[in-house]
Amino acid sequence: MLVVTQILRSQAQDCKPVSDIHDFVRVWNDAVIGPGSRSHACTLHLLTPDARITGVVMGKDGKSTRVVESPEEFVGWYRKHPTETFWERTLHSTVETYENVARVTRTYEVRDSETSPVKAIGIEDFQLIFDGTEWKAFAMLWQDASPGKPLPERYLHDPK
Amino acid sequence: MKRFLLLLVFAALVGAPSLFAQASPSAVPAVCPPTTTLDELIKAIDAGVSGPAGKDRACMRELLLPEARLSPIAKAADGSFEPHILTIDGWIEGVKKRGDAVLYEHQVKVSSDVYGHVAHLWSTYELRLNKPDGEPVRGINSIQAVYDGKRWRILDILWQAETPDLPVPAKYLP
Repeated sequence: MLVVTQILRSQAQDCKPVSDIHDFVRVWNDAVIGPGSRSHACTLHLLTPDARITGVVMGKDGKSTRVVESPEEFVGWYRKHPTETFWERTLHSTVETYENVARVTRTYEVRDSETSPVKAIGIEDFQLIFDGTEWKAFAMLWQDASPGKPLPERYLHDPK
Repeated sequence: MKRFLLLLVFAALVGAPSLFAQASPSAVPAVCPPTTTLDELIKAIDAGVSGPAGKDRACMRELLLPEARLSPIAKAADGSFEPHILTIDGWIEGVKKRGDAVLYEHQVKVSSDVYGHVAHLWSTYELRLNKPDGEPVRGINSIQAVYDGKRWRILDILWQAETPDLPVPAKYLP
């Protein structure tokens, strides 16, 4: 896994750096969109080496489980689905920044393609660090919306 | 992200990624402030941080999930910025080095986003040493919190202290 990660990070020179925090979710989507078999170098490039991705998953009994992944585990999931395609867009985002720290909280929408039915929506919350050159995510916390608890209206659209 | 079912199966088979089940949400000890709401969580953070540097930190520990990280952003020797990642034990040891100092921390302006069991609190803090009305140092706390079924707990705090040449913007001040 470490060797694969090193190779992927070495391929990251073609990835667009995020110098403006307001570009982050667009660049993130660009990195995630595509077939599972694509290179994941750009996704890894957007994460610090010690980044952590935590999903809160609700069981049918209403109890929650936290699923904690490293960057390598996060992209490894896509790699295990090479024939699937992924398409995401951002319905709403909130950005706060102070010098080298920022947070981006966004509502994601997942489809197989731009014209496919919606498969999932939910919230992703990114903590980011500006290392002096570019913004990278240090932590990402997400939860899918569930039919019994829809997202509030204010999270479904950006203000006009 | 719709990846959770496969993630759970995958984790069950190979032992990764890490899972933290919350089948038995933890009750807050009677002596510690409740954190059933995010407002209470903010007050509990202030209470957990504030006090003599060497005080008992049982309630601060209770605020944190087992895998929680407390990470100030620091400038590296090469001029870049990076997180200095601490566990609660590392944070407590760091605070103890302040000796006999008494800390007074207040979150003075907080904005939040919350859905379900996840929340973000973007908070301006003021920290005073030894005098509750002394001149504060300030900074920004970026806080990720998770609701475990009974109470809110901290997953990550990433913060940056204010410097004289980089004042906290007015929009983040009371």
